[in-house]
Amino acid sequence: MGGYRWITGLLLGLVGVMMGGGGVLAYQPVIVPNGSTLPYTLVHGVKEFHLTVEEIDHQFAPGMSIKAWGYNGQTPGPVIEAVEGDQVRILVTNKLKAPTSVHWHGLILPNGMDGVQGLTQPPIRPGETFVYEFKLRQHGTFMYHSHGDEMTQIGLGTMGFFIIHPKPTARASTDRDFAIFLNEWFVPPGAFRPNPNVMTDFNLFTFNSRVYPGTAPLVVKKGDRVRIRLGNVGQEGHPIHIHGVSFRVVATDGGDVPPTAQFPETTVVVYPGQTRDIEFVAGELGDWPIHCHRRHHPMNAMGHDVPNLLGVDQTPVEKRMQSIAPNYMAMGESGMHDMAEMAEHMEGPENTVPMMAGDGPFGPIGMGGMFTLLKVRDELPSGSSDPGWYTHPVGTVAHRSERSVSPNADSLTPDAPRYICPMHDSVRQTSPGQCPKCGMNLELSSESE
Amino acid sequence: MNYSTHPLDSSRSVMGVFSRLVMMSFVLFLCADVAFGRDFDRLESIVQFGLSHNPEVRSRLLQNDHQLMEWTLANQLENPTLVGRFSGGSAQKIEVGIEQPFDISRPDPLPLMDHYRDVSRWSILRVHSLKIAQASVDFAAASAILDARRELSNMIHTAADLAKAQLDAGNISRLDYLPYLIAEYTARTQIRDDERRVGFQTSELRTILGMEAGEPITISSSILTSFNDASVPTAGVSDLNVEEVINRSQIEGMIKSSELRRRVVGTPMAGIFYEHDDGDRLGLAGSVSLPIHSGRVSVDQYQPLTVAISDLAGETIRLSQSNQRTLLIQSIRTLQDQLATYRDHILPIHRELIDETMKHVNYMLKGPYSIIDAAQKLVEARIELIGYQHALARAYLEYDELTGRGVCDPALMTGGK
Repeated sequence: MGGYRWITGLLLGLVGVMMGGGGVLAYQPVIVPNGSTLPYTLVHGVKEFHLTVEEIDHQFAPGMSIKAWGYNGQTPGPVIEAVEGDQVRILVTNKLKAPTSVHWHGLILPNGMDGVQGLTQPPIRPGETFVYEFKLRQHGTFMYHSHGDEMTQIGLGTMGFFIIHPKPTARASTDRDFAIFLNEWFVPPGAFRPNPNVMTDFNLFTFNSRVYPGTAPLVVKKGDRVRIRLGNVGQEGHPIHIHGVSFRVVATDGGDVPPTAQFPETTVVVYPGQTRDIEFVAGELGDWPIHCHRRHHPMNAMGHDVPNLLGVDQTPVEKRMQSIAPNYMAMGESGMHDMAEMAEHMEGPENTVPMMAGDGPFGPIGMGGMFTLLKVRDELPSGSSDPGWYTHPVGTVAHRSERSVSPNADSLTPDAPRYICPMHDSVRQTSPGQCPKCGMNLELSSESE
Repeated sequence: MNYSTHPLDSSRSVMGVFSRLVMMSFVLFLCADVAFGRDFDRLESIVQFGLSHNPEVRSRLLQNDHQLMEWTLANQLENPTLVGRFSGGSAQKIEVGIEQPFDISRPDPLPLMDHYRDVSRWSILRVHSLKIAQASVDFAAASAILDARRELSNMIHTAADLAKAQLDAGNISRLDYLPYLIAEYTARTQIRDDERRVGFQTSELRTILGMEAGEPITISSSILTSFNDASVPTAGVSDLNVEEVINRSQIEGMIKSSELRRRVVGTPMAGIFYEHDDGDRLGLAGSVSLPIHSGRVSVDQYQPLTVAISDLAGETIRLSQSNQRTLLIQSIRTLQDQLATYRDHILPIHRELIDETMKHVNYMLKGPYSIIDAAQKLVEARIELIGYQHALARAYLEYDELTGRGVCDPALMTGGK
């Protein structure tokens, strides 16, 4: 499963560190769900990376793949990890049919290394390899992306993280350090090539260029200090919300946020061109959603011209519709949940993930797009990135109640116990208490005995 | 329908067909009172029914026979003539006689009359066959289009009902709903138009089939599709074009007529005479008139002139027929290509469009209106297809009319090949 690719990324990062650092881990390597870290070679003290930009086959989720543009066979490109103070050399080979360049977003570097096609450098023409070399003067979460024909090239996936770890004493270390890149796409249902000309009406929203249920979970141990780095070079701001934790934004791509300026949050908005590092302690066991809080972003492709059928009784027309299309099934009368329940039984367009997908331990989850899970466990699983569904302690799961919860007497079930105010007959409820009008104790009604 | 093995090729005599036509006419008259069904699935059976039930056809055939009888009577031996003569004065004389003319030198005109009658009968049947076939395909096309338009109307009605439900649920405004309502009423008026058109076609067809008003009639749409895969006719000389057959008949008639004029002597006459003057006498008498001027030279000149004129008329007909035939063959080929495009590509693609739309509806990427829209487009394409099938059927019938082939050949209906 593609969701396990972060393990590969972790291993590659370790390999890179081993190679470059003589076997000593200089930093806590970043975990890239569904992605990987770019290895480097140390050449006379310079960390040398090699990026190849090219057209790739990329899977959004099982059942849906696209023709994207990426680096080294993936989108987002592999994470470049280095340490503040490193001298880095990055070779960029262009295997696209169009000229390109790479901009090192947020980095302080010589102007000629900024990667703006036509402004600070000539374009990298198809087949050419350019070299960028500069010293890393800062630390934090940064990005790299094309800076030529951005609508097309970034729109098709030419982006990646550039993470510069601080010198060991500069920042508190974390136990788990994740990187998630945010982006939007428009792929017509049934097609396989994103339309880069779309500016606002996107239909797919991705974490590391994957949509749920193709997104890998973030697995942490209870009590871990967790960092999640979020980056965005798309078109829209994304309010990323994490259930079950309270976090603080500890850094932006402009630098660390002083502790005095940090405040607790459960949602952080990441706008285009921004990165945000958030940190928290995973204190509660369970499976906790991480998702964009724009309502349609944690969903897969939706129709822009679907009529509103909420509350519409389609019974009179359903049979007539079936005479036109025998498999027609009326949906939407009570919302979109029909879709979540029926999607697996109905045939959809080729190469398209249902709008609402994913099954959980209690039924359809009915999510998509920018949605994944933070899985907090007592122990980290060995040999697998996904520990499976959380096993809830007995008595800790919401369940169907047989009780009526309405305090209104008119809606009480006939056999429910009734507590009535001896002074105000209209005050009735199912449990003992005081009358809100006179303060007298409610008495058990003889009707219910 | 196979045009490659037509039973009446140019090597066969038209006269051979005529003898069968006489038999066929007889059969048709015998069949006239036999009850036929009113559900037709073959063009041949409709034509056969129409020929045997249409009073106009029967009347024309009777008139034709009536004409022959008059000719026959006119050419029977003339009645004997009572002749009387009285001479007054000093020598009174009374002559009374009976004369009987004997036209022994003239060729027998009866075969010529038979020939005229057969040609005339053949052309009557042929022309009516074509009219029946044309009215039938017109009716079948109009009926098929009406059925399709009813389907369309139902879809528009479904969309309007859905929109009304959306309006009632508060999901759309009346502004959004009104176009659906307009479409629904517009569809109703279109259906009325189509029903009126079919009513007109039905009335025409009933008349031509000799059926009473209100008598139910159905014609399978397969009579239209039967032309779809018919082999494309090839250009060739046909000897069964009505105009050409009549022209040939006229040529033969003119030649025969000219022979009738080639008399060396006038009509011989014989009689019995009673004469009374100074005595009574009874005797035989005879006479032969001799033309004072001989018509021989003019008759000799008249015949070749007649033949030449007739040949030129025939050539004109053949020339026109040839060009029309080429044009019709081109039309038939083009229409068959268009039909094949609709059958093999356009309609299957429309069906695929519905299937694909359904997949999008399943994933809530499209709504039910998209399905209705796709289905409407399919029906509209089917209506276009019916239009082409109708045009193809009419083109084939025109070709039949031109060449005397196919369903309009009355000889085929008698099973004579």
